[in-house]
Amino acid sequence: MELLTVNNICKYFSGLKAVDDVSFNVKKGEIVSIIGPNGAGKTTLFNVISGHYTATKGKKIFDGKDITDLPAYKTAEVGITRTFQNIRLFSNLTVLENVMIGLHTKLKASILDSLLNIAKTKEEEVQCYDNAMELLKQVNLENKCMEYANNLSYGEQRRLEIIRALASKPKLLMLDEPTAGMTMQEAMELVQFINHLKYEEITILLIEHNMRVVMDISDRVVVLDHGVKIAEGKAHEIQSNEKVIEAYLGRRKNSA
Amino acid sequence: MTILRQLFNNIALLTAKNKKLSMMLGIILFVLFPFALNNNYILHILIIVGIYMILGVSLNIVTGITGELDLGHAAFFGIGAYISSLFTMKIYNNFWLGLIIAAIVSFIFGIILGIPSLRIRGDYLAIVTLGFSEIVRYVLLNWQDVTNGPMGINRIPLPSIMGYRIGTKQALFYLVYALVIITIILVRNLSKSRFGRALVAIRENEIAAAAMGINVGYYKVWSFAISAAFAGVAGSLFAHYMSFISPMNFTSNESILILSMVVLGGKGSIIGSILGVSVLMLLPEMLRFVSMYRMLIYGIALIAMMIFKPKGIIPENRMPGNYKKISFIKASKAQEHEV
Amino acid sequence: MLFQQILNGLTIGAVYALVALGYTLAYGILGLINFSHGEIYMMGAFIAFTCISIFNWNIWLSLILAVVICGLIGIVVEIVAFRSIRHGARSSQLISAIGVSIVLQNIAMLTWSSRTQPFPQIITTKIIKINDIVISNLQIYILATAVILMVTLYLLLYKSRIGIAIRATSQDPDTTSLMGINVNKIISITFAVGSVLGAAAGILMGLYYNSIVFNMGYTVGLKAFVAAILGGIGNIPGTMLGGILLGFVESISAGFISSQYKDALAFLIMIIVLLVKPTGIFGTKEVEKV
Repeated sequence: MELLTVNNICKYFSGLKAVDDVSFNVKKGEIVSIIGPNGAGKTTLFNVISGHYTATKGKKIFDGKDITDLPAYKTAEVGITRTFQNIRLFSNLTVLENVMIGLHTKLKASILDSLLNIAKTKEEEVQCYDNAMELLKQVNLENKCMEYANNLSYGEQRRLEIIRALASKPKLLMLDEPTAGMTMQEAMELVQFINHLKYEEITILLIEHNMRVVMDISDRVVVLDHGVKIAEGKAHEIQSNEKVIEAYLGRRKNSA
Repeated sequence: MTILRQLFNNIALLTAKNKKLSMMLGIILFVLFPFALNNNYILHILIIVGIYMILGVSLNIVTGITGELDLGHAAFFGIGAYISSLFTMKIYNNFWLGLIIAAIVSFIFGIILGIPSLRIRGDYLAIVTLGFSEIVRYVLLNWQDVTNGPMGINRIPLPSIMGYRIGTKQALFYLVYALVIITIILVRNLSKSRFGRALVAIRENEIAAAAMGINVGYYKVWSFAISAAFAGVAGSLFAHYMSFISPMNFTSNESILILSMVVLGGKGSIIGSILGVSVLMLLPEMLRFVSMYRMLIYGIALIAMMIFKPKGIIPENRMPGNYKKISFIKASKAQEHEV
Repeated sequence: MLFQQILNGLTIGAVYALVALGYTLAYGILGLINFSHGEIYMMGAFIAFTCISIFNWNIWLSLILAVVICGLIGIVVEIVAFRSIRHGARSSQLISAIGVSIVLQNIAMLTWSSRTQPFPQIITTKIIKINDIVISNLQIYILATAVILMVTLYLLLYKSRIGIAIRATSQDPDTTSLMGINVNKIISITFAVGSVLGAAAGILMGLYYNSIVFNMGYTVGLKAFVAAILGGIGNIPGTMLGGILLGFVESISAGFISSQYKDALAFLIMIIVLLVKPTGIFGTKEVEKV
């Protein structure tokens, strides 16, 4: 069953076609990778899906609902959360608070409750705290919960960003180059973690440059080049696709 | 000196050990203070400082927690003062009702000022708030039929509780500081709550905040509105205490002064705001002996503070408070289980 | 009547534009709202007044001296109050600038007292009447001086090596310093240039209104800032137009709507303009990168 369907999405920046007529879908429980050379429009497509950009044309259907016109925060509310290519943590806040903010949509305290800090709110805060610590344990960050986010190492920051996005138990998690800048070992640990998420019925859409990661974890791969989808299929199929090789390596001039 | 220091250390140790006792002691000292100090001049200054504490702590919501430079806080201070005075003098003479209506009207104007924040950012927003402050001042100056123009409003009734007039400086001191404490508690709750976390998330990174499901615009407008409501309360207190107000009390210079207090104290830190207010309000008083040069020294102090302590006297610290308490309770419970 | 208001607006607008350019230069190069800039304008007027009326020095020497001293004040202000917090929070820069403003205002008050002082009439006012329209020779001098200064600024910024360095620094100071340019020096020069323009504006205004007072910088500084924002702060031609536009708005609303509300109206128009175009009329649109 399709969780996310993207139909003919276009995103133009005053004439520049960053994403041009891209369609694909993500089924429940799948891990789908988007790959493509630099400047192919992968992140722009991500931004359109997450509602940070509005599409110039096209339609997005998520879980049976049309989410084309939803702004980013509503897209998150319906169950799509994401990480960013250039990590966007709340750097002057603690690791713990970063995750607690990730739980924002799960909490009920209204603004008046927050002001008066009524008993119900206090209880919810304790729960929120527990929840956040539980999540931090999953990525081995519980001992760093009182550190400021910008004092973490690069790999830790990536992990924190992922767990922050997971905090609200999204139906679809979007990861923008999660292993960028990681050592191979760190990357493999992350792959294990992502694989384990599959058992928690979380669907994952990711942009990734590390081909080993892509091959290891993706059920399907979507390939973009110059804003256009040039291929889609199982990981091993993509590997031998003529168009994909051309996009990455360039056209062979004296092709035999 | 050493004896003094030792005494101080001992007190510090004692209070650290016994928090409840020291808090009780603090409350008793606070209650007795105005009587022990039978000096109307000092009480007057402390009352004004108290009113500015409400202004500083409430501006901290917008500037410290949400992270928007707001140069228009004095406008809400003025709106609260005028609304409360006009209400009690022309419609119905009840101080508390006037105070609440002042808060509500300021709240509404807070929403109005908050709306531009949906579109306008950073320095541009700062100048919009300044412009708003100036517009309010011109209206107060020129809408003579209602505000009595530059002459201001005179003979504003003193506050009263259930028919008893609060006339002495001591009583007014308690009234003002009771409201200061309420403000501090509410803003503290706010800053450590779901709402407060949403606001700091917006300050730290709007795009990431939106990705967490936070409606950035909605929360920004709320933070402006709540901050304005508190300023309205401060205005009402100011009007009924002084019994005379004029547009001169609510210039954009005043807005800038309040912002200086918050930044000097440490953006995002409530204790910082309180200290910032105290320092900047009391400094000119303490510098009276240099009479002519006091404002000069004041300006130099501002520059020096920003250069040597740009994060303020007490920088924001979001670590302790509720979270620490929760983790502390957890830890002690866990220990009990192990035993 | 309308033409008269336009002429008055143009005169005052030209002065606003000169002051506004100081804001724009500081903002362009440091991303800093230099709230103390209005005080430089005041200082310019007072130093010229002192040299001419008190020391009885040669007029031209006095004027040049006033402008040069203000340029130096600008350099000192930048070094003392802004240099170390160049990369700090906006709010700390703002408060530091406010501190400078208080210091300069109080220096002026302590030196020249808080009374309003008469500015020397170095030009005898002549009035030309064409039908209903009254033009004073002062207005023409002010306009001419403002135009000359603005053209000079334009040539400096766009036709000289220093101008290239200034523009490069405002684009990207780090890369500029990699090109072997002393960024600190360029920033100092920029502040000096802005202050010279501000001081000249102060002198022109002193001539026009014939009186100067220690806190005259506040209101004009604020309005010039509004002008800069209106045009799009950081954008030189936009700022010039913003100043003139503000002058028009003020004199036309004073003439036709209400003189009491003319200042409020200027702010209202600024807010409306920003709501429609959040970075000013000629401001570049900030594209939010996700």
